[in-house]
Amino acid sequence: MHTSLSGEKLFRFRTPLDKSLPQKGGIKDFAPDGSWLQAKKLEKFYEERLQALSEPRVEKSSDLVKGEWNPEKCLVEFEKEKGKFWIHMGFVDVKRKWLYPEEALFLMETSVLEVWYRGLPISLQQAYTFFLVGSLSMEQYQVYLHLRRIGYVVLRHQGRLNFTRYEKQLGLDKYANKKQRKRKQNEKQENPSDKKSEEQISSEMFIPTKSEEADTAAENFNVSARKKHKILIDLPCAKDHSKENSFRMDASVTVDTYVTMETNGSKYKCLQNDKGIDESVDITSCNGNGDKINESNSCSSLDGESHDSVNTSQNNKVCAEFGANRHKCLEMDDECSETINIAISLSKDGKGLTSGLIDQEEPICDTSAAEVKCKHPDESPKSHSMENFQKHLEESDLLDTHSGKLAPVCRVRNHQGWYTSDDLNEWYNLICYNAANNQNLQMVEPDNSLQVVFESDLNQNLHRNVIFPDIGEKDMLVLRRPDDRLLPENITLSDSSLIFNVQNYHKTKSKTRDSRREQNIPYLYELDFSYAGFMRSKFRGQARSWKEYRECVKREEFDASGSTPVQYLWQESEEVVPLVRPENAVSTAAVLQKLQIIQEVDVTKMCKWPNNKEKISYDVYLPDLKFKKSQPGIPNHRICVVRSVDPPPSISEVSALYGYLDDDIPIHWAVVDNGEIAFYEFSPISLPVDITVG
Amino acid sequence: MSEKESLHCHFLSAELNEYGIDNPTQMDLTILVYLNLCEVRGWWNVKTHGCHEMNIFFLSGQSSKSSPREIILPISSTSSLSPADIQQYLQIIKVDNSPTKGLILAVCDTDSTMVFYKVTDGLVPPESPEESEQKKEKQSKKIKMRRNHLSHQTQLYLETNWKQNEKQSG
Amino acid sequence: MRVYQFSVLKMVESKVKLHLCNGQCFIWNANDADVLRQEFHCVGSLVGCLPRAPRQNTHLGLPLQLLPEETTLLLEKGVAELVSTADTLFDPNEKLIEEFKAHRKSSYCQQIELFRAERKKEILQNLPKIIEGKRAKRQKMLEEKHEAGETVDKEVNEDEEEFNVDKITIPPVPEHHALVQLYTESPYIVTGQSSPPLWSYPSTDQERLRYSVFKDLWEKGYFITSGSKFGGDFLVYPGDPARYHSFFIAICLSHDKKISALDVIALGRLGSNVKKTALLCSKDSDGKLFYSSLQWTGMS
Repeated sequence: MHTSLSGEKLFRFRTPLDKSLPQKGGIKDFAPDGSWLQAKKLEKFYEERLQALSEPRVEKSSDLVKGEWNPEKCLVEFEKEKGKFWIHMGFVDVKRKWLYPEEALFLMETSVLEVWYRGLPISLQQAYTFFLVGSLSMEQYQVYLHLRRIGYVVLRHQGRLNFTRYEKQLGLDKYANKKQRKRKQNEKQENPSDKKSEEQISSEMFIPTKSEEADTAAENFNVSARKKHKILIDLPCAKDHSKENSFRMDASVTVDTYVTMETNGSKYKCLQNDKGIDESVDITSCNGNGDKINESNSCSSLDGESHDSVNTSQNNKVCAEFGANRHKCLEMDDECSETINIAISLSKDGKGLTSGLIDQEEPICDTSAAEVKCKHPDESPKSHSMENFQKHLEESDLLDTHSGKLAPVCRVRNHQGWYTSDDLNEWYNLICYNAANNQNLQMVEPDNSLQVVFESDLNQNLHRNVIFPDIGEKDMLVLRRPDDRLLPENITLSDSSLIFNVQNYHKTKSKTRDSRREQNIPYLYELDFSYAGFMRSKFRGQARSWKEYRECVKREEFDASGSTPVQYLWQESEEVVPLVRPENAVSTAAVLQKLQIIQEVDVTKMCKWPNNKEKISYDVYLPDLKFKKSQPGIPNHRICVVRSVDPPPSISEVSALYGYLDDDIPIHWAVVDNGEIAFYEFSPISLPVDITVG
Repeated sequence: MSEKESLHCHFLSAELNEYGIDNPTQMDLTILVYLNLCEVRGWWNVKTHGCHEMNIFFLSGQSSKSSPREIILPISSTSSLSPADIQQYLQIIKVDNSPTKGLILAVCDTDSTMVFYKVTDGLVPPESPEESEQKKEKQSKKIKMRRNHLSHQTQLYLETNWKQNEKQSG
Repeated sequence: MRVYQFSVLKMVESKVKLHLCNGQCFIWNANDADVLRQEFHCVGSLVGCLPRAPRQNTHLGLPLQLLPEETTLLLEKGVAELVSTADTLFDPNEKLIEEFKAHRKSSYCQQIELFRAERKKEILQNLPKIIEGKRAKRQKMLEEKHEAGETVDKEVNEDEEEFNVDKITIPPVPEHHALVQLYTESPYIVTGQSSPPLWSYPSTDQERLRYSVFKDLWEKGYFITSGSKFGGDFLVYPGDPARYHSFFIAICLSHDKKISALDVIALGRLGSNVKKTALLCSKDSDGKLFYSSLQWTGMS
C-alpha cells in the first residue's frame, strides 16, 4: 500500500474542510508581460488547483454504501441503500439490488458508494478502466456524469413510448405505466388499421385537404356542396362511425342525435362551413309520410355568421347544426318543447324569399313541437291566432294536417341581399296569425342576421296560413287572399292590392338592398371575394329541385367563367391552367392551400424508420423527488451521444429518429470532444400559416 | 446598354487590358473593387497591377494619406482556394518588388457585395484591448469633428442669410 | 513548483503515468497533472468530479484527460509512460487482503487515539467552564435538598469539586465510524512485467497534420487546448489558459485542399467575433508548416 493515507492524516478530515471553490471567470489579462503581478496570480492559481485536485475522498465508513462488482454482468450489486440515490438510480433483479456501471461510477465519484472486488475496494482509477467497457463508452459516461452533476435524472434509453396520437391528445400518456404500455403495444400490432383511422380523424382540417377535392369542388359553384370533408371528431365513439362523411359536432350535440341520424340511413350530407360561403341550400325534406329525402347542403352566410343547416331524418327528427353562435342543438321530437333559434332562409327551390303566399310543395321542417318566436323588430310582439296561421300553412301545404309537421324551412339571409327584414316584414304581415291561444309569434333579429324563431304550444300546429308565392318567373302575381284573422285590425284588402308586381318589387328590393349594404359595416364587404358580383346574379333558369338548380347554376357559372380577359391562356394551350380560380376562393386557407405548390412535408414522416433505438443513449428527466423508477413517465429530453470526429446527423437520420419515436420529446446530440461537451438539437418545425380573416 | 458594357467603357478596363492578362471575370471584379475603394471608402492613390505568373489583377492603395500601402486581391465568392494558393499569393504578388507582408482578400459577390479580409503569413496575434480602444476613440473623434464642422457650416450660412435679409429689408 | 524555460526539458525522476482507457489517456495523479501544466505547458482537461464539491460543472477534478496529440508528444519527449492495464485490476491474493485489513485496523486505532487526545484537549480547554457548570449544578441540588429538608454536609461537596481529567470517560467509537479513504488513484503498486499498451496515434493523414501543427506550436511555447468550442482544431494561448485569453483558433487544412471563399469568410468572421485570429495551418509535401492568419480589416 502506498499513497494511502494513514490514520493521522485521515483524522484531519474529520471536520469538513474548506469547501470554497475558486471563482470562475474574473478578468483575464490579454498577454503575458512578464510582470511580477501576473506571475503571482499564476502561482496562486497553481497552488489552489493542486490543493483542490489532490484532496482525497474521505468518508465515514458507516456513511458509505458497500457494493460488489460483478464483472460478468458488468454491474454492481449492493444490499443496503443510503440516502436518496435509490429513487433515481439502480434496479432490482431477483431481489438483489443492482446499479449500472455509470451509476456506480457516479456514486463513487460523489463519495457515496464503495465498490469492493474480491475483498479489496476498487479505486476510481481502476473503476474507470473496468466499468467503461462494452456498450458504455467514455463519451457516454462523460455525458451521463455531466448531466447527473447538475441534477438531472438520467436513465438508459428505454425505447419509444407506445402511445397513439389520440391518447396523447387526451393526455392519457401521462398515466399509463409500463405494463399497460406493453399491452397496448400488442394491441396496436393487431389492429394496424385503427391507427390510421385515428390519424384520419385527428387531422384537423375544415376545408378540403386534398387538392383534388378542391378542384372538383371548384367546378361546382357550391364549393363544398357534395364534397366530403375530413373534420375533427371529438367524441370517442365517433371512431366507430368514422366514415367519409365526418362531421364537426359542437359540444352540445348529443351522440344519440348523431347516431340516430346515421342509423336511420338518411341520405344526407351536412357540411359545416364556418368560413362562410354563399351556397344554396338544399334541404332534406320529407313529408309526413316518410318519403325519401333529398340531398341537403348546409347554407352559410357570406359574413360567416351563424348559419345552420336543418336536416330532417325520416322520423322527422331535426338536428340542426349551428355555427358560430353555438346555439344548442336539439333533437326535436314531438315531446320537445325547448326554444330553438333557427335562422331561416325561406327559399323554395332557391328562388328566394317571397312576400306573399307561398306555393310550396314540400313541407318545411318539423317545428311542431318547437317553440317559435317571431318578433317584429319595430313593434312590440304581436299575438295572433295560431289557428289562423296554421290554417294558412295548411292551405299552402306548408303544414301537413295529418302529422302536424311542418316542411323544412330554409334560412333567411339578411344583409347580403336576399331577404331583408322588410321582406320578412311583408312576409310576417302575411303570416300574421293571431295568438288566440297564448301563442306569440316573435321575430327576433339579432346581429343583422335574421332569425325567425317559432314559438308554439305543444299541441298547436302553426303556420298553416302562411303562403309563399312563387315570384320567380312571373311578372305579376295575384295572391291568394289571406285570412282575415291574419290581417291587422282595421285593415281591409281590396282586390287590387292582391295584385303583386314582381318587377317593381325586385327593383325596390334591390334599391333597399344596396342602401342597406351601405349602412352595414364596411369591412364585412371587404370580405367579398372576386366573384361576388357575379355570384349574386339572378338565377334565370327553371328548376324543380335543388339538384336541378345546382346544375343550372353550374352551367351558368361555367359560361360566365369563360369571360375573363385572360382566358386565352388556358383556352389555347392545354398545359397552362390557372392556379387559383375564383371558385377556389372559399376561404383564405383554401386559397393558400392552392398556392402552395410545394407541399410542406412533415420531417418526421419523411423517412421510414429503421430500428434506431441504439442511437439514443439516455432519457433525461427533470429532477423530481416524486420520480418513480417503475413509472418514469415521459422523458423531458433524449440524448444521443456522438464524438466530435463523427459526422453530424443527416436529415434522413434525424427524421428517422423522430419518426420512430413519434413523440414531441426533443432529441439532443451531445458532442463530446476530449472532455468538453456541447449539446445541439435538431428539431423539426413547421412554418406558421397566417390566416387572420376568412 | 447592359451593365457589362458600361463597365467596359470605363477607363479602367482599357487600363487593365493593357496588362495583357486574359481573365475577364477577375477583371470585372477588379473594376468593381477599384470603384468601391475609390468612391465608397475614399482610399488614396489606388493603382491597378497585374501579375502575369498567376494570371490575375490586383490593386494597391492607402486607406488614408499617411497609412502604408496595402495590396488588395479581388476574388469571386464562388471561387475556392487552398492554403497552397494563399501561400503562393503571399509570395508572388509584389508591389515594387518589395516582399508582401500581408494582402487583403476582397471577396466579391455577384451583386457587388464585398468583404475584405486580411491574410498574413505567420502568427499574427489579435488586437489588444488597448489598441481597439484607441481605434474607437479615433473614430469617435472623427465623427465629432465632422458633426461640429457641419453645424458650424450651417450656422455660418444662416448668419450670412440673415445679414443679407437685414440688408435687403433695411 | 518552479516554472522552467520552455526550451529546457527537465528530466523527471519518475515519468508521469498515463492510463489508457477507452482509447484515451488519463492522468490520475494530482502532482503529475501539476507538473505537466507548470513545466510542460500541457493543459489537458479535467473530467471527473471535484471531491470537495462533486455536484457542479464549473470546477471539475481528476482524472485529467489528455488530447491524443498531447499524449504522443509526452511519450515522444520521454516525459510520460503508459501504464499497462493489466496492472489496474487483478485478483488480489490473500496477503494483500490481509495487509489491507491490517492497514484499516491500524488506521482505526490511530484515529481512536487521536480522537481521545482531541477530546481531552477540548475538556482541558473548557475545564473552568465545566467546573463552573458542575458547581452550579451542585448548588442547585443543595438548594433543592434544603427545600426538601435534608441536611447536607458541605465538606463532602468540596471534595467532589476536584476531579481527574483522566478519569473522564469517552464512549468507545465502533470501527465502522472510522474514516476511510475512497481511493481516487489506485494505491496498489504492481511490479508487473506486462508490456505497456500500444499507442498508435497519429495514424491518418489528418491526424498526422494535426500532430505536426500541435508539436510546432508547442515548441514555440504556446499552451494548446481543444478548439471544438470555436469550431476549430485547437485554441492557442500565449500563457496559461486560466489567466489569458487565447490568441488563435488553429484550423488544420491539407495544403492542397480547396476551400470555398465563403468558408474562408466564415472562418475569418468566427475569429473576429471573438477577438481572436483564425489561423489556417497546413503542411506541404516536404513537411514544412505554413500559417496564414486571417483577420477582418474592419471595413464594413
